[in-house]
Amino acid sequence: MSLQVENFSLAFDDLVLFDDANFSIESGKIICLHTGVLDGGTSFLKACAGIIKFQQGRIVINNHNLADMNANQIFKNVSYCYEEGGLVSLFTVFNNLAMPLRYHKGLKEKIITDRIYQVAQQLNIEPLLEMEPHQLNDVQKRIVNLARALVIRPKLILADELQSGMSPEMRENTLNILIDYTQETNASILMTTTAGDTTHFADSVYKIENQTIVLT
Amino acid sequence: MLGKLGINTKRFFFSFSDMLGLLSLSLKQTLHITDPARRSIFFMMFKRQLFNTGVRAIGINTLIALIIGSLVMARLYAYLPPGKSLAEFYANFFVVVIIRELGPLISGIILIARSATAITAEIGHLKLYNEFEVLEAQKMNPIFIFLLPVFFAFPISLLLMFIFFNAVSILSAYLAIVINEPNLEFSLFLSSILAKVSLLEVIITLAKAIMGGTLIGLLSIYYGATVGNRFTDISRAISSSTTVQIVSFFLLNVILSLLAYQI
Repeated sequence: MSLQVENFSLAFDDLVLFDDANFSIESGKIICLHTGVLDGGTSFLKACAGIIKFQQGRIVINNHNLADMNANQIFKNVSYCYEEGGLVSLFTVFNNLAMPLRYHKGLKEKIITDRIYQVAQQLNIEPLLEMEPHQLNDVQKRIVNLARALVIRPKLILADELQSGMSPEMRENTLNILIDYTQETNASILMTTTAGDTTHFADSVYKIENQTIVLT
Repeated sequence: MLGKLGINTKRFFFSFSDMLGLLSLSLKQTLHITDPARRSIFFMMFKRQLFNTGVRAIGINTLIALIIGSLVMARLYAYLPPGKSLAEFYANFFVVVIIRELGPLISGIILIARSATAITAEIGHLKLYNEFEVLEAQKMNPIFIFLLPVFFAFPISLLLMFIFFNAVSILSAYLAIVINEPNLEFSLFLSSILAKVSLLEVIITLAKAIMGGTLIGLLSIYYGATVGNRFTDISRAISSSTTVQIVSFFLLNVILSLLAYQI
């Protein structure tokens, strides 16, 4: 899955976050985007996932313009993992993971359950499945967001500050799962990172500078 | 003064058109129930809603119906005209007062107080914590997931509450009568009431349930969705929604009763 961002401009009222930025990811690559405070990292990922609108430019996913893709096509190709929240408080963790699969793919309940338990086992979150979002801490919520992306099996995962607050063991395990995922599926991952996060696993590391995205 | 009137009129028409828009979006989403995968999600949410709205209201509904049924009967007994059969006299009264007016009004108030406020709070919470965006990020339509079950569950719950309220009121009234007329058979008492229930009563009761339930659900969702970024927006939404629901539900009942029984 390739991602190309061309002449991208994004602003909220007078706050200009990106101005004519360009960026691309090739299939099977893991890219880190180093972000600071309020420099637009989250907004950039959300724009790439089709969650927020941008003023100018083009986002192309596997040669398809994001603006022309329907909801089902975007769902199958792109998953966004929230840094904060990202779960529906009325559903259990299991239903938060299962609901998108039921809604879009119409898979049999057994296949959905097997898929969820397989990913939950890898990420060591099986005991969380019957809990409700308010019972989880921020790190657990980020892991559940990632689990939801992995059960959907998209071609592009956009993970927002996934590593924040993780113990070294948990971080190592999570990153290894992501590396395996890209190797098995040829999917790409774009992950925002912040101070204290590791980037050794990434194929390239970019940063946001002067309202554009540049290679470090 | 005139300016204020203009602003409020404009606000009313904007709110009204927003609600019509919400209604049409919900009707459009109804088509997706035909998709088997989405139908299972709909029924999961619908059952939850029906349970919370209809089944959990049985206790309070029973209590109020018992009180109304027995109290009205006890008071009515004092005004029984000489030579009139109590069962016959009560049957007329029951159909006019309880089935036509009191049952729907009290059931509607219970629905507003118990469930509509809860829905406004739920929708407001989802809005406040950006959970609609979470659904949109998964490309799931929040109207289908949260709003559609309410549109179906509220009218059905209200209808069930009408029926239940009437049934309990009949039973409690019978128990109150039996104290003074121990020989009165329940079947005779029930048949004298049922004989007074015309097709028009059934149609009006159905209309009150469907229109009233839909209206209450629509207002709950609309006011829940007006919540902004402050927690206090939720309490404000509940307060506004409850006020508008009570006034509009009373108006709807009065209009339907006038149309059906006066013209």
